This record gives sequence, structure tokens and C-alpha cells, in this order.
Amino acid sequence: MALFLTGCFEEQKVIEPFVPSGNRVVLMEEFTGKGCTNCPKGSKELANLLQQFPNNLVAVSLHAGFFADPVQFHVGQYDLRTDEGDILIDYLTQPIGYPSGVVNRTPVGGDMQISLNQWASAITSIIQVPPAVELSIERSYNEATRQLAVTVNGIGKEDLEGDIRLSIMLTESGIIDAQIVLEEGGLVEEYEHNHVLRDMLTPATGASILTSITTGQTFSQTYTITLDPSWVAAEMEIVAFVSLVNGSAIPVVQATSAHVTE
Amino acid sequence: MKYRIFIIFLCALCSFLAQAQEQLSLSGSLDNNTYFYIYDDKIVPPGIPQYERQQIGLETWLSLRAQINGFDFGVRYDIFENSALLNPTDSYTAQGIGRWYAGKKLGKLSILGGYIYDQFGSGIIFRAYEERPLLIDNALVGLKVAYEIAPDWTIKGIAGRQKDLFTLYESVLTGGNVDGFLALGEEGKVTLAPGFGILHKTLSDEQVDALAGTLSQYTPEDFIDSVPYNTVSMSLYNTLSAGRFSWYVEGAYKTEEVIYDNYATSTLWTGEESVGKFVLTDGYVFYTTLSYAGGGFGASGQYKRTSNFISRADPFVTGNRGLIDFLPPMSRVNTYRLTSRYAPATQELDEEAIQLDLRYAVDKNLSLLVNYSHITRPNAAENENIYEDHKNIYDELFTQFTLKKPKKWTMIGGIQFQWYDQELYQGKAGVPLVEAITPYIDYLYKFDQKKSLRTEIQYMSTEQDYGSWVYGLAEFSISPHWLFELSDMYNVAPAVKEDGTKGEKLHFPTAGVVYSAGSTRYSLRYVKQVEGVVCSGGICRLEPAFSGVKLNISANF
Repeated sequence: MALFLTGCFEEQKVIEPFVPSGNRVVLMEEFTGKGCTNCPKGSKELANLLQQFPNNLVAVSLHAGFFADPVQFHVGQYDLRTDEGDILIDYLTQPIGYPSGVVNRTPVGGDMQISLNQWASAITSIIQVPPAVELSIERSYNEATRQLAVTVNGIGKEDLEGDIRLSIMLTESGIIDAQIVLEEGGLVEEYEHNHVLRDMLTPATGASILTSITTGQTFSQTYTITLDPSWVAAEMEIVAFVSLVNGSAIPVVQATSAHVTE
Repeated sequence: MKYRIFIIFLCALCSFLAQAQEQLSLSGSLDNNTYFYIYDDKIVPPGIPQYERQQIGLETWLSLRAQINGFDFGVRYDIFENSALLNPTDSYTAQGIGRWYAGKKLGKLSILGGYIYDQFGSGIIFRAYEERPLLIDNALVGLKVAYEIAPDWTIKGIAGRQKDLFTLYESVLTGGNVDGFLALGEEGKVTLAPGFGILHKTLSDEQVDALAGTLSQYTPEDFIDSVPYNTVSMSLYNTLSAGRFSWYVEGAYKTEEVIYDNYATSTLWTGEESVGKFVLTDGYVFYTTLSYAGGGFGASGQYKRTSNFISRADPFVTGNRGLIDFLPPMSRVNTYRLTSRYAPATQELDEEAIQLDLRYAVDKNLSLLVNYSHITRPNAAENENIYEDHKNIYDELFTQFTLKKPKKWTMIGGIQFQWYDQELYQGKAGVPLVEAITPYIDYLYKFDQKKSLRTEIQYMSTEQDYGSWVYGLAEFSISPHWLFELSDMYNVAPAVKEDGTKGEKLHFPTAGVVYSAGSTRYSLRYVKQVEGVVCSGGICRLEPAFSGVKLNISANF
């Protein structure tokens, strides 16, 4: 009994508020759907984390899977799914429960998809690690033609070996459409959907750009796209990230983002 | 000379092997489920990989056991191929040693190492068990030592880590339990079976660091200053039997631990409020059951109060993963298809429940049963969010009669009334309380000693969820080997949806054959099954809709 009760006198882990530093940018991919009653909690947490880490976190909300299927859930007027989202939900494994997200494409406890209560700790554990690659985005957008040109520039800060892939996503925020929200007791007609994946300028699982990179080595990749007429350019973001693919390991090395318009 | 020595040695060896063979006992079992998926767009949602491309899935558990000279060895090989057990919308493929153990009894001392299934008392503070349909297998991987300190008194200790599929959780569990038996009074008419258990859990540094990473982002309103590495759970229990009465009581307490309260209001840095956060709290369970049996009359009453008693091997896992404890369910375990459709999952955070069960045997051919259960969340108002109105979450009144003509027929029937908080139990936003009335009849007729026919008719009347159902079953049995079954579950009166439309009236038929030979059983069934919730012991799992063929082989050898 005494041995067990020594827990009363144990040293406990003191919690200090975490303040990020450095230029590591973490990618958060949230899987959601308009028919997913718990997913708005995930969206709230995503906004919460973006406020906490404004310079160290980029977010994408992928409408994919069962709860995003308009055949299953006749919710609102828009189908927010994309072909790339359907590929990625299989590529990153199906969520077991919702809300669910993938942080930097790095498993936590063996699970790639993690629940909401694990997002913050997964992010804070990565933020302090300096990036192996630094990225920047140059873009030009022609309002008349709606053509967007994106150039992603990178420089190696460490030597890396493997399938180095570049992914470029386009997201849109401020989309007003319906959503089933558990905390609101059901259907919310005018719900604001943010960071919604609209398209990708690269293949869904990334474009292989290098098989290795050394410290100081640079690369530059340019892509163009014409924005869909229904998208609001002022609400759109470019999210670019580099991942290192070695078999089943696909961690994101560094991410960055930029607005489509100034 | 050398030749003679060799012959003597050979004879001695043969004698030893012969003796060993007489003492060696080998046994085993096989449990296999194989699924052949046939897509039906009316009941199966798109995007399920088993239907889209995999077509066949299976789960298999093959156990072997050897006992020799007081040693007990066992090994089990588990196979999951395209299985839907882990994730209803995805497939899980893995295989390997699911269990092994080695044990020996040395007089009063028993030693067991490997994957251990055991519990303390009713399991409130510790229960390591498996429930395959729910993919629960939380064996303790480590060591168990038990010692008979006196006749009818045993003390045991355990130490190890909990199994997580084919790996282990990082936390370390150690514990001890002592229980015994006392006979008091004349001829031992009054007996006591007291016990005490204690369980110590230590989180790993990595688990605590992960918790710290999450908690470090909490706003001042929700901030937790420190996280304990250790948690201690204790329980004291006793069964008192006196004549026709039996009274079981157990009280359990858990020291402060950071647990996830998915009903608590959290304050975000954005200024918004959300639901669900980690909290630092202790917890307790009080459970008692009193029963009486005699004169053809049986009665039992149960009461349970649970407060913040989440006990898991990892603070981040949810659902059926990482369970260390087992909280007794407080509703009747129903077995018919429609009466078991809405089963309440045990609430770990806040639950108060009673259950009453009355049975009366009018004569040897007629018996009656009435069962009532009532489950609430007493502290719901403290949630201050959508869950504050979810206080009364389950009520059930179940009645049954059993009438038989010996060796000819048996009729079982009755009616069930249910009130089920589907929004709370299944997380479906905005859905109303399910109110269902389900009459049922089960009739077994024996043509002769070998042939019999069993039929069931059930009707669930409700305006919520899917609406009303009717279920019919016919089972024709030719003893001892064959059983043929045919059933249909029909959505006879679909509920009106939010958009004013009605669901489609769908049939969910099943046809199958079962062959039994000795301790081996084969079953082959064509199944269409509506989605639902499967519960066992108060622990539930979402069961997805199924369309296809199920093959099951179970054997003991």
C-alpha cells in the first residue's frame, strides 16, 4: 500500500504555456464533411491553433469521405469535395473517428489520422525542429483572365535523400453553405467553411522534384492554373509543402503559404 | 557391453517419453469469420474499400494450448485481412502472435507470464479481457503471481503493459488484489466474499510530454498547472449471501488524473467556446446489487453511480481503445434483433442508474419477467452547453412471459418500451429522443426428437431514426447437425426526414445454413444488414451496413 501511495508525493510535470519560435511551418490537414456533426469542433480548434501559431502553421480542410458525400447528406448547395481530396483520404488513411486530422503527415503513436485532442501536442512537438528546407512563394494573378502563376522556391538547409515531392494546394475560405453542427442542435444553413481545398497544382500525392538535396542547393518550380469562376480569389490561399517520401514514411519537411491576391 | 548400455538407455528414454506423452495435453480452437462483399447502393455508402476493390475480408483467431507436468503453455495467432472491425469505413490488415503465455502452479503459488486476462472484483478498476466482435483485446502483457494465503483466500499481483493490437501501450500497470470467502453462522448459512484491489498506472515520459504539449495551448480559463505521472485506483467489494438473499457492493476511487471530458465547455483563444477538453480530476464508482430468489420468485435491484471514471492506458485514445476498467452495464442485455437495436453505452464521466428485475414462475410451464432500467446524467447542468439538457438519457421497460408444453413447444413473448437519447449515445446532431414500442413473439415447436422449427416475429413501432421495423425469422433445425435459417428485417414505416421526405422501404434479408459436428460449427449466410450499434457489456461499436456472404468456422480440438 505504501508503495502505491507514494504517488501522493510524486513530482508532477509542470505545464508551461508554449510560445513558438523559429521558422518551422507545420502543415495541418483536417478531414471533414458537411454531414459530419462533430467536425465543426475541429474547425474551431483549427482556428484556435492558427491564432496560436500564426507564423508556424498552415491549414487545409479536405472535404472527403462518407460525411462529405452529398448523396449521403443532402446538406446545402455545394459539393466541396475534390478528386485530390478523395485520393488523399486513402493516401493518408481513413479517419477512424471525427474530427480527424493529419499533422505534417507524421504518425502519432502509429496513427496518421489523429483526433482533435492530439493536434496541439503533435504541432508543438514539430515546431521547435528547424526545417531541412526553406520555402518561399512568388505568385502573380491576372484578375481579367483569372490565371494564377505560382513559383515555389526552395533551398536546402540539410542534406536529404529520398523522393522529395512538392505539393501545391489552393484553398478558399469564407464559403457560406450549410453544415450539420452537433453543438447547434442540427443544421446550420449559413455556416462559414474555411481553408477548403479547391484544387491542386501538382498531383494529389505530390510531384517528385528531386531524389536528394544538399545544404545550400536550390530549386524552383512554376505552375499555372485558371481559377474557377465560382471561386473568390480574395479569399484564396496557396499552400505549398515539401515532403520526403521513403516507403510508407511521408513526413512534411517544410510548408509555407501565401494569399492569391495582395 | 556398450551395446547393452545403449539398449538400457534407449529403454529408459522410451519409458520417459511414454510417461511424458501420457501427461501431455494438447488442445486448441479456431474462430474464423470470412466476408464476401457484394455492393448494394441502397444500403452501403460509397467509398468503402471492401466493396470497391477488396471483395473479401477475414478475421481469424487460432489458439493452441499445451499442458504438461503442471506447466501450461499457450499461443494464439491472429489474422486480420481487409477487416472492418477497427474502422467501419476502412480496412485493417495485420497478422501475428496475438497472445502467448506460460504458467506453472507450484503448490500454493501460481505464476503466469505473457498475455494475461484477469480482473479485480467485478472489473471496475481492472479488467483485462477480449470481446472479438468489438475488437476489444486489452490483455495485460506481463506477469501475474497468485498465492493461496489460506483456504478460500488468494492474493495476487500483476505487472505489465496493456496490449494495443500488435503493440503495447507505453504506460505501466501494476496492481494487487486479495479476495476470499467466509462462512458464518450455523452450517454456513451466511457467507461473505470480501475483496480489495489496487491498481497503479504510470504514464510514460512521452505520454506526459504529449499531454503537456496539448495543455500548454489551453487558455487561462482551462489551464492545468501540472500533470501527474501516476494514478492509483482502489476498490473494496463484498458479496453477502444469507439464505435467499445476496447482496454485492463495491466502491472504487481513482486519484487525480488528466482525462478527456468530451462534454465539458472549453474556451478558445479565438474567444469562441467549444465542447471537449482535458480536465484534472479524481473519480469514483459506487455499485451495488441486491437479489432475492425463492419460492418461484426472483428479484434483483441494481444501483450504480459513476463520476469521472475514465481509466485508459493512453490519455489520448477514445472509444473502445486502451480500456483498463470495466463499468457494469445498467440495462438489460436484450438478444432479439429489434429489442437490442438501441442499447445504451456505459457513460464513464457522469452516470446514475438503477435496474430492477422481477421474475415469477407461476408453475413449471409458465414464468413471467419484468425488467426496468433508468439511466441519467446527474451533473448534466454543469456542462453549460448542448449537453446540459441531456439528463435523462435512457429508460426501458421490458416484459416477458415464457409458456411451454414440455417436449412439444415453447413460447416466449412480451413487449418492450424504450426511451433512448440517440443524440447523446450516437452523436447524431439534432435528432429527437427515440421512443419505441416493440412487441415480440418467439415460438419453438418440436416435431420430434430431431426436428424443430423456431419462429420469431417482432415489430418496432417508432417515429424516430429509421422509423418502424418488422422482423421475422424461421429456423428449422435437424438435430444434431443442421440448422437452416431465413429472416427479414423490413423498414415497414420509414420515418419522415428533416426535408419532409420519407426514407425508402427496404428489406434486409438473411438466409443461411449451419452445420455442427461435435465441437466444430460451420455457418454460411447471405446477409443484408442495416447499420446499427453493437454493444456488449455496455461497450458499443458502430456496426456498418453489410451486404454479402458471411462464412464462419469455429472449432475446438
